[in-house]
Amino acid sequence: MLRYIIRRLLLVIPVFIGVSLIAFLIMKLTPGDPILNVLGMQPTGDPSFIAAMRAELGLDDPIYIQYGKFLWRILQGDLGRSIGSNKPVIILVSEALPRTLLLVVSSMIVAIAIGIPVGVVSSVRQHSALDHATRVGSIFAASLPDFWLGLMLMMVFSYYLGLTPISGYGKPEHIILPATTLGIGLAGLITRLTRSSMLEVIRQDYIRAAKAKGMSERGVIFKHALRNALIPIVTVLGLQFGFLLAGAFFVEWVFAWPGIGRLAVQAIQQRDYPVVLGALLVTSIAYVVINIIVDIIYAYIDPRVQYE
Amino acid sequence: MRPLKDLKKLLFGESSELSIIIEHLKSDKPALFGLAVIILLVLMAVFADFISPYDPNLQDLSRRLEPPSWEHPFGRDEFGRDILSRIIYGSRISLTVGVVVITISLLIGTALGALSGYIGGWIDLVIMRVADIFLAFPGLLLAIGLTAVLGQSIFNVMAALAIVNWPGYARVIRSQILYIKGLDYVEAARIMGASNARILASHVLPNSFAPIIVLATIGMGWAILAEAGLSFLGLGVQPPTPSWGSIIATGRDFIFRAPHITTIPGIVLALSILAFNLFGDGLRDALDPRLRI
Repeated sequence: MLRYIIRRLLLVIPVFIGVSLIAFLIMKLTPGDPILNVLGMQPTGDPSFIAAMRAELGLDDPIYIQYGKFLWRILQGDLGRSIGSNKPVIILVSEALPRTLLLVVSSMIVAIAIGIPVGVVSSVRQHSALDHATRVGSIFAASLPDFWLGLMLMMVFSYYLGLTPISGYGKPEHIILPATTLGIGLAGLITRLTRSSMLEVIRQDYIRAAKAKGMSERGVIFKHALRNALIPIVTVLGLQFGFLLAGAFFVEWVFAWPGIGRLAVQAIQQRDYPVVLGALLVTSIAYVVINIIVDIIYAYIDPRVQYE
Repeated sequence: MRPLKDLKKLLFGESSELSIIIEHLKSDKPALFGLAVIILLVLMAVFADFISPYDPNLQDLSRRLEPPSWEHPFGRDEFGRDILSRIIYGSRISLTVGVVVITISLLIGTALGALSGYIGGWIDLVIMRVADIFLAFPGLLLAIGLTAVLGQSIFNVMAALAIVNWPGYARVIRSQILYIKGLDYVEAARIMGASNARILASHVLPNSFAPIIVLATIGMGWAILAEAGLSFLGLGVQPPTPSWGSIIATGRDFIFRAPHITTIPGIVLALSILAFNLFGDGLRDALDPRLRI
């Protein structure tokens, strides 16, 4: 097991180098001069000041030196400074990342709270009208664009009904709409998975045996069927983490949630590329780390996973 | 009727794979609904010039933000343009992006996946590690970064989406090929002296397309959603070209005063994605022999 974990961790190195290289190249190739952007798009500033600023930001070095310096710096946790606000990127990103993770985890809770019960009921009442409605509803939920759904929920619940704040951050009620928006698509997926996984499990012999010995239907479903049906759902939750992170970029933008997505989109619009770079890099690293954790958890849950 | 039936029998056989799939799809109502919406979308995009009631870029500032009426069933936007016409023309953008992105991803993914799976060795190792790196990056985020680099245009959106999308296809093609190349009929072809290229082109690839068709159909929905998302963030199609995502984005500023601008294009977008998902799901069921019993 330890060897499996070490091997899995070693695989991160090439992925990390690749991800950092892609992130670096993306921003290096961005058109537009970041210095001129900071100075308000006026190429009339004092040339010596501009040159000094370029040198200070390392924009004059050859590109491979810039990448080498960049890689060395990020290994030390230094992601540079924001060109716009002059704050260290690591501070901006480390302020924003927990908020994004809070949003993503809350959306997972929403998705589980809706998806698992609905999926269980749908599988137990297979071929009923409820089952058909659930199947269509879940695929519909998974097809809704996050950014549009967010605007619709905002319009109905914040503007017309006045139940939730329109946008922002700080109070517990601020998270309700963003988390619901981000979670609904995943809820659709979990509903479908729970249903199909349950349908597979309830045909097994041990379920029949549990029923034959006189166990109640509720007991069979919750003690035996659901517990075994949960294994694939855990995996999918882990795999969906990356999609939720990407979705969070849009949802944060809609609800002005000050997470890493909003930080990145604002930075892209201001061509503040140390921030864009930092945000994309940290998001990707978070994604890779979560995937490893899921792999390891999965290896614990399911003894059939091979360690070698 | 008879000659047509005979022709069908001649072409597809009594119980050929294709006829079984068609029969299966006929009884799958959600998939048929999806197909109907897809056909409608295609017709809308192809005949936009004929069915669009107004010029999508014709402004009338005196009647901006007008709600839906008989004259303008979907209302007018912030420049007084007819939203129905903009949605009709927007379908061209959505479908073009979908088709181009999926075609490029398929071409790259199939070529690299086939090489990787069939030749193996270090080529396999390199291609799959590169694919891993791409898959380690949440696709849409990479696309956001790439469109920021490449500049904001529809071509760059398509390029960015294709770049992030090919590794999925390469993976599937590779695993299919690894499975198929071990089967007896491939071995038989090899013994009969067929070259690698011939075996790959006429035996292995045609038999690995079933999962790819499903992936491509669902991928169309993803590409349409991704284009709309990028345009929503202002990274995609630039004004005044109508795109569903950018109509929703501009409507956002008027969401409480003129909710129709955001609501209606969003419904059209969601329906289109739903259609591709439903049809893709139906195809998956129809192509999976285990579900046919």
